[in-house]
Amino acid sequence: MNFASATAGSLHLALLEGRGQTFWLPEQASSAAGGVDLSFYIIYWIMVFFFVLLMGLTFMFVVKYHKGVHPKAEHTPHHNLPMELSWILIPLALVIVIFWYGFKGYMHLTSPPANAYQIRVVGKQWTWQFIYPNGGISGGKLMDEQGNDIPESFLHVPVDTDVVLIMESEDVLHSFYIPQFRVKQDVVPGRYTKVWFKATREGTYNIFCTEYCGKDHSSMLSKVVVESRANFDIYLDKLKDRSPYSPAENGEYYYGVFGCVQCHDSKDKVTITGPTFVDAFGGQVSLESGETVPMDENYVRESILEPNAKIHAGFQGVMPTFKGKIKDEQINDIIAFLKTISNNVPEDVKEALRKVPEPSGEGAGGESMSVEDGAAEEGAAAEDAAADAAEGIQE
Amino acid sequence: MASTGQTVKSILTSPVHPEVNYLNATKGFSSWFFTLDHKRIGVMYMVSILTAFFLGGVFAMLIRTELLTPGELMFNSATYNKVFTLHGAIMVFLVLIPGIPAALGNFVLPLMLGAKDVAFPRLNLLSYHLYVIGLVMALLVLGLGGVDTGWTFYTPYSINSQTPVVLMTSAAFILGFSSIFTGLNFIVTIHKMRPPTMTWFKMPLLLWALYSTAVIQLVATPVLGITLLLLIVERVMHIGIFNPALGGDPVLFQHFFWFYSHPAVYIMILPAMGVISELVSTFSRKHIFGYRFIAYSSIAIAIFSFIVWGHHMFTSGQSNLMNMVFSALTFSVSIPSAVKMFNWLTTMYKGSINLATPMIYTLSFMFIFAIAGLTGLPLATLATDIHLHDTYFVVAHFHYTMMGSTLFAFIAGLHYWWPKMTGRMYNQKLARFAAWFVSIGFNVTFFSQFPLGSLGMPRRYHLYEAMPDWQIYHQISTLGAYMQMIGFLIAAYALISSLSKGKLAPRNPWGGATLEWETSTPPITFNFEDTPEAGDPYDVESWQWSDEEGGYVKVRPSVADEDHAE
Repeated sequence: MNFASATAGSLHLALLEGRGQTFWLPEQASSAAGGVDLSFYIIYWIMVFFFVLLMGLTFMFVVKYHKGVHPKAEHTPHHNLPMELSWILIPLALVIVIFWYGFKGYMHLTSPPANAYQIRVVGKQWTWQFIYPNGGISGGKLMDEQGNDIPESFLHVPVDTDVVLIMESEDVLHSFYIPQFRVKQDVVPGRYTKVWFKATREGTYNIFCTEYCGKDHSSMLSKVVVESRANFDIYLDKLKDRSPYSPAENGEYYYGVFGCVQCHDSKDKVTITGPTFVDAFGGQVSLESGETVPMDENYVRESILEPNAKIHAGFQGVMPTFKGKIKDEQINDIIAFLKTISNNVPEDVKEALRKVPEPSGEGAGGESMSVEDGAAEEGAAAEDAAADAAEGIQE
Repeated sequence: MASTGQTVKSILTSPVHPEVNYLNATKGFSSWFFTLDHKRIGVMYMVSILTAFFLGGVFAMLIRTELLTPGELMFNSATYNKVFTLHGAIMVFLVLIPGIPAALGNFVLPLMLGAKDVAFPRLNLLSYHLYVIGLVMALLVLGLGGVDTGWTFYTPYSINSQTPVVLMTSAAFILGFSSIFTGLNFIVTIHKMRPPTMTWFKMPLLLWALYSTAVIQLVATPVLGITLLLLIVERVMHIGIFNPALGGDPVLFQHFFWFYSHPAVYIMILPAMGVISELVSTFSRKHIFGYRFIAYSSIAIAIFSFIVWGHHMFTSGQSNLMNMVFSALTFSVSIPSAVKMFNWLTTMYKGSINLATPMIYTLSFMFIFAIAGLTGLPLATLATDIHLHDTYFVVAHFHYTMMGSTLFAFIAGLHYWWPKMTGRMYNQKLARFAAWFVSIGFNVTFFSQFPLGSLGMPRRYHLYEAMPDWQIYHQISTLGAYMQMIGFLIAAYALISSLSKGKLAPRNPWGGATLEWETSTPPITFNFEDTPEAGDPYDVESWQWSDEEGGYVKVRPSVADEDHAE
């Protein structure tokens, strides 16, 4: 009794530790993985059986009927209908079974439950963006300078919940693939495609793009974080109003999420596809038309919404419009970020943008009693900066 | 071959080594480049295709070397993408598709029919010239910096790409015509120029295979042509066909593309199967087993090849119904392939197997083709394909099919007909050693890619830093690639050195019973002094070994066996 339960226990433990991972297949982390793997292994053993049969016979014949030991070929019939029919009909029966099994598994894989939790996925060269039902967006930079993950940028999903991803592409074909979930679906420009799964194990798993999409195809990665419903809700709330962050931090975040970073450098003052933004804000921009305009809030806003209105001299008008995709607050945050990376902007303005705004409470603009004097001053400085920005927009 | 003690007497009276043969009949560049002789055209194809193979092989080595490390080793992602595109495009359009039909087929097909040439010699020359133009255009693309779309030219990336896509697709377009003309020529030749005694079911199986292939070339290639033309129109004139930004449909391109490119896989593998059918019988000293089923299976494969293209698009977003239908149809191809495999195996039963170089490649083909075919099963199965689609599992599978099967059969055929083509025997020991080296190297290279793919490594990835565990599989694979490279260089040395140092080849060094062995070595310009009598092409017992000749001699007319006549 004891022995049996101990064995069962250790077997259970072994399975847990093994997590369904085998020589051939990665860890299982979704409800579909077990079924897919079972199909794989049924086919695998059929393959092994036939391979051993064919190659065993070949090897045997070569050894037995090799010219050295069998100098004269024997006469055997040139055909044998029952034999030949047998190796048509037996494989035929087998493949019909395999087909049916695979089809049933596939129907499960591609039929999302009606009440599944919906998340939108946008693929673009070469990032993934995830848009949650509450409007929160994640995506963009996956690692900080030290090479540590930035989990906020990943796709987050609640464990043991049916999730359906409604996917679209902004440019070329991509394909969304999570090996541990055994799901894959192309992301096609001009139409929506869906993939669904029920993640069964908390953890972080890789997301790959598996349809070749140009230069950085192999860097078009992300990760999926499977977490408890409670943690997922906390994440979603944080993502929505991004309240504990400064305008500059939010700006940098959206700079990544909307893919500005793919073409516009913000660190090393180098030209990628578009102009760099290091030390750009507050300066002058020469245009293709020959004019010069100030790089101010209006110019940034217009360039995001109507990229071809004023093209920077020396660059082609290849930037897509973000009209309808980006919100005003998000533009404001990006402007704040651009200010903090420009030496044309006074240090105290930058300092203010780097501060996390105090929670405003119920009464908007109401003074908080608990705020210390110093902090109040800083808050005022931030308000001034915000007012400056507002003036810029009104001009 | 052990001496039987008694002398064997040839019934063929024409000289084995005539003074004047097709190689030395005329001299000079234009006597080759503008020749109408199918044998010379075949030899020129052979040289051009092997040159393209060398070029594609160099790119393969660059890819494998780059993937030794998860990060950047030699070049950046943009360059890597061009390297794998050129590797794929060159190998598919310039090596595998023309490979067996244009090089071996051109040389052997009229000889096997006992004919003087193909039906349209001028068209044959034109198709070679088109091939050369295609090759030059591909080199031009290379000179311009290469293309980065992948050999599949998927839209809309191929429309946005800043690389010379129009030139590359034009090259493929022109190569398509080369392929169509060869196919047309073979169909007409087989229909009209068989000798009176050669009925359809007395044709060598290679001809059945080449015939089936020619049908695919003729029917499918125009679809590729028009698709690539539409792509060019879209790029140049911005007419929305495939680009959603202009109102087109990118998935439509995939349908058009695979409607050709899946049958194209059978343009590659069918002639390979034909070559193997010849070689298994000859080197086992046995009549082929199940002739009719092998012949029918070639036709069946040609037909089925047209109705399975959708399996390339299981994850493309096409409807579940379409996926179901295409999955079911895809399995249908496995049956005729299995038939061939079992029939070859039964042919070897109770034979007297001669492990000469071509047979080593043949056995290695059977080993590789078994894996290639069987690993098609989880890819045809919908539930498992979703996981495996566009991973290295697919890369491994199609290299087993296209390289391991088609190319090995091509190399086997090259070693088989080399004595007839050049009049020289190559060093058996060296060539056999190369064959083992290439075969083992091949399996090391590509078998390791199966687990790599099923563990999740996507194809066409330059970097895999996210998964450092994958490195060991890549390193094993690269090691195998280097082995193959060494093996191929040894094989090339063995063949090339035979031209100056090789023994004079006999009329029939291997004992094949098809008609090409009845002519002189090398053949005379018009192939045969007297039109040969076609009998049973697999009556290998009509040829007996002669120590005196150092080869096989024909001792009696080949006759249809009573078993064979139904």
